[in-house]
Amino acid sequence: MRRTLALLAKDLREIRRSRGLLVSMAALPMTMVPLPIFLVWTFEHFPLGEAQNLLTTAYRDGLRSPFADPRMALVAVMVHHCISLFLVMPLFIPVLIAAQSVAGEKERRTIEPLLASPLSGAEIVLGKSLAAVVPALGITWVAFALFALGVNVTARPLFHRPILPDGPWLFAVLVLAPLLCFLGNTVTVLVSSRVSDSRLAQQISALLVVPFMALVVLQFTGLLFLGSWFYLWFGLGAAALDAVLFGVAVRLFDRQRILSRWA
Amino acid sequence: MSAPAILARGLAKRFGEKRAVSGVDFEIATGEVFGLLGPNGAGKTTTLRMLAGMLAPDEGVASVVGFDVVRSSRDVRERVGLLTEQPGLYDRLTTRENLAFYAQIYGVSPAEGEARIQRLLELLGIWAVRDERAGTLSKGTRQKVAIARALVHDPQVIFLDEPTSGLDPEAARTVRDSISELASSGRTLVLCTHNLFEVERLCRRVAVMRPGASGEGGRIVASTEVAGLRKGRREVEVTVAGDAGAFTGLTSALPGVASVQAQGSKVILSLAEGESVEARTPEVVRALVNAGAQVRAVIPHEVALEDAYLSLVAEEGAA
Repeated sequence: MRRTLALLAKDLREIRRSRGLLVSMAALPMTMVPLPIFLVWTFEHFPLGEAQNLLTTAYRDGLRSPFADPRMALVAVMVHHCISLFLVMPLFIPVLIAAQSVAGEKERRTIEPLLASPLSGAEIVLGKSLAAVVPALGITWVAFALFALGVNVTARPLFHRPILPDGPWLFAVLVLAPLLCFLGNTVTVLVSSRVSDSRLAQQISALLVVPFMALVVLQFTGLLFLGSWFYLWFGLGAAALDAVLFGVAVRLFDRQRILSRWA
Repeated sequence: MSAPAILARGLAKRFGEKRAVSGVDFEIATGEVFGLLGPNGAGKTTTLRMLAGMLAPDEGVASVVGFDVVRSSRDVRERVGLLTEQPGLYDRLTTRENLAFYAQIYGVSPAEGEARIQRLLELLGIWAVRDERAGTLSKGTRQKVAIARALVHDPQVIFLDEPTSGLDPEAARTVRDSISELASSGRTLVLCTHNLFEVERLCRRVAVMRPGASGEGGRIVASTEVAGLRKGRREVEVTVAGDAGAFTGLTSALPGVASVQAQGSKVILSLAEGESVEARTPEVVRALVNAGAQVRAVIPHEVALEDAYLSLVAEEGAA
């Protein structure tokens, strides 16, 4: 474990010093946090007119909230919809990091000394995975804290109390976010072990976000309502996928395979 | 006799359909500096990787300091230092951070690691760049940092893969000096190169590898002492005033001389196998002068290591 932690510390230090990577990692929360807060503020401060009727019709499945006031109900359903949008973050940020740290080792020709060391394949995959998951999770949690604070402050005149974190959000942030971080990372490690450069690894792995974004779009357009049961099953599925894919990633991260393909 | 530090018997490796190496045999004694010579594609790096516990051979067996490279590959990796062809440093980390990371993963304690890093950087003359990021260092300095990395865990065996490849002459010289220092420290060194000057200067024994014909895989075509590669012409040609025939009887009695010919004013002495032209020439000249010859010119002829190596590779290529 000491060796894995040494690899983790080394990778985190490299990430901290990579300005391009830090900017890419910050881009997602910088848009995902203020945008929903702005929407909540808009719902609260502007007469919705026809839009209210449209939204009420579109979101009728989600509007079975305890709020009699339609404006409050709309804000509540909008905040709930933001869960799926928010979960793109823990899925995508590890893709950025893992592609750099795994395929990047090959690109920068640092992989051979690492493979010559006593580190086992499993230790390398675990160390690299933690180096992608830890910052991604940290960013997600900080972003959620800012998001919750922003929503609570913005919605206070309407609700007169904090509305976040609620049950679904806590489940999303504390359970789903780590699972998705791990999923994004493991898929990227897998892809990185098959392709030759970090950018390609990033582009292929980023496709993982596409079905998730489709869910977000379907939800925001009112065609789909992702309730608590969905997230529960989704979490179970992600956990199972994580376990299977991590096993495959460790198996594929084999010295012989890497040396014969990469070095 | 003590067990060899490195033992390889019938090593072979293939990648998919392509055979990279076949039938590699050698023994390297503890404390020996051994050269692995050969052109690109001869399988030198693959051989090193098998011996370093990174690749499992498809055929044959090998052990390093008593550990089997397949069954105990982790033990082998713990005891081996590998200087890769590319320095492979983390550009965003400083020299010290690069070395400290490797010290940690080789299980060296932080205090011991710090002490070793300082000692190595001072030995290699790069202590001044300890806090500079690797990405800002010159090529020669990067290579020295990579040498320090290969040594930070005090390995028993060190593999050096093309240590001066791509370096300017000055940097190459400082790297060679560093290797000389290592060689004198009693460690077992395997130098994998196609730089004959390096081999001549640093190694006592060599194995010459060459790429195999039509999917055979690279193999060893000669394994000998460096001096033994220089088979062939070893002659001293002395030009004297007048007829050289008068001196043939005298010079043929000299130790180390196999035969003598006179051609006009030239005496051509062929030396026996294993004799050094450099060592015998002064004796020959002294004997001729003592016998009253007026020596006008002395031309030693010896097969250069480069010629010996090229003829070995060419012979095999023609085969």
